[in-house]
Amino acid sequence: MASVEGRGRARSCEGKRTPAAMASPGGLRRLLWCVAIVVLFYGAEFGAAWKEAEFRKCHQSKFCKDVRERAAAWARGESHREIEVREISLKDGRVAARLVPAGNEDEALVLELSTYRDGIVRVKVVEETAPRKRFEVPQVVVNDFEEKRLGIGSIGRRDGASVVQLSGGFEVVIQHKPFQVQVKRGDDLVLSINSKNLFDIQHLQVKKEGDDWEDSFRSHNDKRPHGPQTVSFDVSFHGSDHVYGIPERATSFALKPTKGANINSEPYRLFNLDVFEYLDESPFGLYGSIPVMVSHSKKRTVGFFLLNAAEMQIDVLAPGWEQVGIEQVSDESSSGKRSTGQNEEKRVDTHWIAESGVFDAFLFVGPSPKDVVAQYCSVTGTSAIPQLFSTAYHQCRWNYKDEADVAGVDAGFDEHDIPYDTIWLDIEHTDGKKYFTWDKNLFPNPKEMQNKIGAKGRHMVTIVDPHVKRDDNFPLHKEASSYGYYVKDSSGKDFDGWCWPGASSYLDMLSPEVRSWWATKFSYSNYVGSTPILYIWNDMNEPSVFNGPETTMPKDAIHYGGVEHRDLHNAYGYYYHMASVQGLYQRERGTDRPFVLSRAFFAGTQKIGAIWTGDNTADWGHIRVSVPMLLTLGMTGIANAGADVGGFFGNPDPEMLTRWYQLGTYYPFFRGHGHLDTKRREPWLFGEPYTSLMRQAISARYQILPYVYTLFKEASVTGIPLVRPLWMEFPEDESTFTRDDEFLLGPSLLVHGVYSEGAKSEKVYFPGNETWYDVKSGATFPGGKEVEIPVTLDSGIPVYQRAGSIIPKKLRHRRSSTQMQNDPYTLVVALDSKYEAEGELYIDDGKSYEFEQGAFIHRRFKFAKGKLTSTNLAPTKSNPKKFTSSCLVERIVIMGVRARDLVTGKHAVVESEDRWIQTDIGAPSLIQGAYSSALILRLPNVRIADDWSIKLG
Amino acid sequence: MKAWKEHPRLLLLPLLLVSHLHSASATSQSLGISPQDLKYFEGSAFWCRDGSKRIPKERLNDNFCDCEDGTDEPGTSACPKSKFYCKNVGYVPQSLYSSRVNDGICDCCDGSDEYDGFAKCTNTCWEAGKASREKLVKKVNVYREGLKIRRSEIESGKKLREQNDITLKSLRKEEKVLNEQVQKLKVEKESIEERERRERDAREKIAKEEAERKLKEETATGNIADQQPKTDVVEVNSVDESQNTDLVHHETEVDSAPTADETAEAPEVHLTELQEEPKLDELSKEDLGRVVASRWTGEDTTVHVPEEHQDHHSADEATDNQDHDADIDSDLEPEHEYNEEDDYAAYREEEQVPETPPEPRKLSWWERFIPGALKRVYNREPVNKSEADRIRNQYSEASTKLSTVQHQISELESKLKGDFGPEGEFYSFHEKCFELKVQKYNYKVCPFKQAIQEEGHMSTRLGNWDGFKDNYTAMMFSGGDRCWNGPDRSLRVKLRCGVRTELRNVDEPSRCDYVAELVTPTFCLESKLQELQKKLDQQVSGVHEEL
Repeated sequence: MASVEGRGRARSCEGKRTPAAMASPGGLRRLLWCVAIVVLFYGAEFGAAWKEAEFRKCHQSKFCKDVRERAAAWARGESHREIEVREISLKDGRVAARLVPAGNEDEALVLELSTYRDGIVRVKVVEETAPRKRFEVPQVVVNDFEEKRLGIGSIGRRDGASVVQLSGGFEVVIQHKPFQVQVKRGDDLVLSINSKNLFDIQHLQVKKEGDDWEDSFRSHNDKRPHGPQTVSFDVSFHGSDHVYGIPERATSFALKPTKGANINSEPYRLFNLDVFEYLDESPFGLYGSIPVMVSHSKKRTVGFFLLNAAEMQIDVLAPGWEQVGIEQVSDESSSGKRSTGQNEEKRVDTHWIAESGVFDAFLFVGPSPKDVVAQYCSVTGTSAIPQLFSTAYHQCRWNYKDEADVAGVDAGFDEHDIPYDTIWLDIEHTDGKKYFTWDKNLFPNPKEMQNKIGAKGRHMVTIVDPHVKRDDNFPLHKEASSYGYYVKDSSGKDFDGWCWPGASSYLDMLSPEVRSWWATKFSYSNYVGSTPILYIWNDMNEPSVFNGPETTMPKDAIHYGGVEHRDLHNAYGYYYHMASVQGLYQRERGTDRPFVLSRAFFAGTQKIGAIWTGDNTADWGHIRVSVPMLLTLGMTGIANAGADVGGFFGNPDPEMLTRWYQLGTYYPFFRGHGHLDTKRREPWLFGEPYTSLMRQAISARYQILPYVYTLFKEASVTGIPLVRPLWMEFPEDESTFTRDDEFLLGPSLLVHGVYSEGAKSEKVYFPGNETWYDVKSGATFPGGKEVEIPVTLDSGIPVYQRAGSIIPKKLRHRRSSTQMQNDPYTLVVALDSKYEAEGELYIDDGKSYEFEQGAFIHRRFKFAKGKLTSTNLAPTKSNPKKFTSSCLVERIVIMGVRARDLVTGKHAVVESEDRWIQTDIGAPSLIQGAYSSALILRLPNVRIADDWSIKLG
Repeated sequence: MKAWKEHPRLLLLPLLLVSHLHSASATSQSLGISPQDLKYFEGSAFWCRDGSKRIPKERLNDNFCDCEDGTDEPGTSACPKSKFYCKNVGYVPQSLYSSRVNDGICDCCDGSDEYDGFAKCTNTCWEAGKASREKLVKKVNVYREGLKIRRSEIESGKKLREQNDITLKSLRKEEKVLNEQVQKLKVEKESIEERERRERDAREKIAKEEAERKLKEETATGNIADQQPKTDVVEVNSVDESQNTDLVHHETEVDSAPTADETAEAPEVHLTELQEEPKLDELSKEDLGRVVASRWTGEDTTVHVPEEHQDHHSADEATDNQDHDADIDSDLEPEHEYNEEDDYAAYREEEQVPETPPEPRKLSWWERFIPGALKRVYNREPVNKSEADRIRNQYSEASTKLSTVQHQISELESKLKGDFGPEGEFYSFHEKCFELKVQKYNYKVCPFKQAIQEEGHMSTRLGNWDGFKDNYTAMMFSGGDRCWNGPDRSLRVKLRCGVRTELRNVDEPSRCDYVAELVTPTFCLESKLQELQKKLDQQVSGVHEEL
């Protein structure tokens, strides 16, 4: 029950009033006032959800409008302007060059190009001389990144260009006149910067009399004290079919062109915003920003990352884009001038406009999709390995009202035998939206409450947002204001905005000192009422400012070191998230992995924690768009993400909710959540068959937790995400390039949601050449084909296991993941055409950092020549810490067994013990009525941690 | 006693030994099977209960799930769908989900669900049993006592109903008599009026014509009013000025309420959206914050209006308070307080609102007829005046009485037709309201009528009576005031047995879906008492057997 405090009308059971009920005994004047305002805001509330007019379009921002129009003019050849490389040399193993735009030495730029291991090139361009230093985003590039730098030994020359050799047959070519950076492999052009001559860094100026730099939007005025300072340029992906990336927005995975012969839409915007009731199809930027673009074709994958946290607008250009907005489009000019004699070449051109900051770009040469993600993550960090509990199911609602409500929901799960691991408390649990406090009436005994939850191995999450209530009796506020820890407004006073608590100030998370101070607030002594099972949720960290421009902080607000909010806006939430994670890390002195969910994010967020896709809506379009959203996040490093199951706004009907659970099972982060105004939707509230179906969906997640956790481990080592586009595993299968209605969870599970009401069938594409096995029935489908699969609500969504894979599962049903610790494993072997399969399993204690000292189990399972073998993948050197498990394998399911082997009475032998195991023919899953098509090895009872081999008789 | 306490632990010992073997041996094959089911597994093989497979006996509880329905693993966690039976000697047996077996949490009071050695469970069945028996005894006593009251409720309900029947009969008789009277007086009145008309015609033609037209007009209105009281609930005999205005406003209010709703909803969105945009920009920073926040919270932002107007509010509120109180005083007959669907506090409050504008008050038919037209016309007819007035007064009195009686009849009829529970046990609830104060809210539940939530003098309708639900275990009130961003409010009152009748545990589990409990002896059912008594007897005898 949210109420914005300080209004004297905080409400509990009151609910909203209808206009009729609202008119209380008062004069006519009051009645009229009420009616007038009600009509005014009622319309606002029930109108088109997305308040489009409240957000800037490109043409409503001076910087974007100017650059976008100018770029088109330049590209048409009007007032053409070239940058020339004047000097080029090697310094410190780096290439250093002077760039002179249009012969203007006063505005000369300095380029620095370095190369790193694994196919990464970094290109930085700054002004040679400037009245002010531009902001460079700290804490994003990992500390040890410079250790990977390769000293460049020499610069080659070729046709008036400089050439630097990279590994893997790649080279970087710097064209001198006009300036251009190209990545090539042999004669193949892979990626180029400034092939369209749009590279431009607006030289920083000192304000002169008469300069009008201010930029107004609606009632907000941005002073822009430093004037125009955009960084804009073109990047081209050669031989490319599609580009992907630049989250966060609710749109297709393959990015559609924004400008072209018949296309003129808004550019893709990167500007973290709290967008009320966002649409399920819009290029508009949402809560987080990652300026990473990936291009893919049959031949290769390549990536580009601009380390810059200012607002960014990116156009994906289609032929004819230069003429957009020009009255007469002549065919001649649109096709003729644009191309540089490469008419036949497939390419995707993009135009990037950053409002401020520096040009600090990272090029990832691939060549495979996994290489690109790994290369990006070697710059910004790989995914933090989550606690095991956080990979299970989360139950959230705005708001579980009081301790009795929490106890009731907890009991409800037990009563209906539905597992869950974590219950969440939204803003109403606090005392007046003062975070780190508890509402004394509703939550008088928070520790006792947590102990009860914790006794069942479950956990709790409370919300802590970055706005601080301006209340002189609130110690946190007193401290923060006396230390000067708040962001300042343009006049130098503590910025005073409006959020849940009413008047609020915002902690300046750019400051390392503020972050350290903030981190101490999570200690048990500071966060009174917290216990070791309590973890954290960071919301509203875009930051959301209800009365700010576009519901966020004014760009001319001032941070630590005099940095303008404009420069770091997109990273604000990242720093906040980082400080909260640091707090939980310190709380247990580095022995317990923090779990902090954040809504805002930036490049590098993956190394801190999980994110979710914000305030979505209960409709089919939002279920559908969650898949491309998660695919995009995965390709840009964010492995741990999910969409709110059920949809935040609105009431899902039981079918929709069931379908959402069935898909959510395979989200990396799996949480049910709903708005304050929505009807209760705990999974048992809809009766049968829904309760059973939702139980089945959640239970399916628990069954694959060993696989999911192994994938998280992989993401933490390499950065490769859990949710993968089909082309990540099948890069040459062109049918997959625009496919975003299905995805792979890890390498081995193909997941296809059901996205419409009463759906009778779904068209599933099976990538590759090998077979796919229905995980429930074991039915097989050949790869390389799209098949119309009949679906019913009971049958769940289509999910398939890839031939050649082995998936470790735990099929025992439990209350939460904690109780599964000692449960035996089931290994599901899906044989390929060579009669082989393999898979991996990673296990550790699921919560500490002892794995860093070797306390983990890492197994490789391989089925070949009629024999399943388990071997060790963990390093064998003597480790200071050990993790052991007495867990057994209770069942081995083998799908794809030849008919002659699929007969009863067969035996298998545990070779090392010479022990016989009974076999059966059965279904691959413990689901009633499933077709018996698999060979089941009963109770092999080998230890999961041991080496063993089992031979089929 | 002591021996009994030790007994179950001794039983557990062999299980603990077995546990480390991970596959259960023959001695534990009966684990988790209820005594009734033991027979099912007697043979050398058994069928999965879903008929899917036949399972050899050695696979019973071998810690591997063979039957998808869980038949073969009652004693382990191997099958997600099996149930584990614990004896819980000294307390009541329990059937657990297989997910609880060896999960490290002691679920059965005898600890039999945790036998793999990871969790150490103590036997708490005796304590649990004792507490449960004590609780049961208490409950049984409450039911006994409650049942007595319930029975007398049923009796008094019957009596009340009989009385009401008698009243109805006598009212019908009275109606008949009155009807005849009215008809007779009507004839007389009309004949007098006919004479009057002629006389007036003779005297002053123009004036007469004028008067006659008016009179006819008014008589016509009067006739409609005469016939209406059957359906109209307002009592004509007690119509005084203030109530009369109430009636007028009532009607306008009722008529206009839906229109107000409509304007607030979708069709107007276009218009309001257009207005909304510049409006947001004109707001103060603080108001902008509130308004944007309200999109998520659904808070109505109307309370916050410019200072000047807020002042008006408080001033108005103060006076309104008084008005309101006076209103209630004059309205105190409980019989009528909730007669009409819309006759509840919120609307009454609104009725006050239009009083402020100096809009001319519509005069009632009576006001215009009696003091005005009547006198004006008849002053000039001294000959007929007293007789005519007498007839007219008699007629008016009689028809007023008739309409009152008709009103009472219709009320009683509808009451007698109502559903007051299988035995009419809730008959007396028709006249009762139950209240509960929760923080600043006062909840008022009037069975068969409506439920409201009061905050100060503001009142929100939670719903109108929507009958009993779930086999007379709950009362439903639905179609209450619409929530912003939400559904119509509704309240579900679960019935509980208790000696004293009281409303408790009002809650709003999700926005505008309210629940509450009504504890009352009227709900202390005989069948439930027997059930509880049986349960208690079983528990007690179970203990005796063990002893």
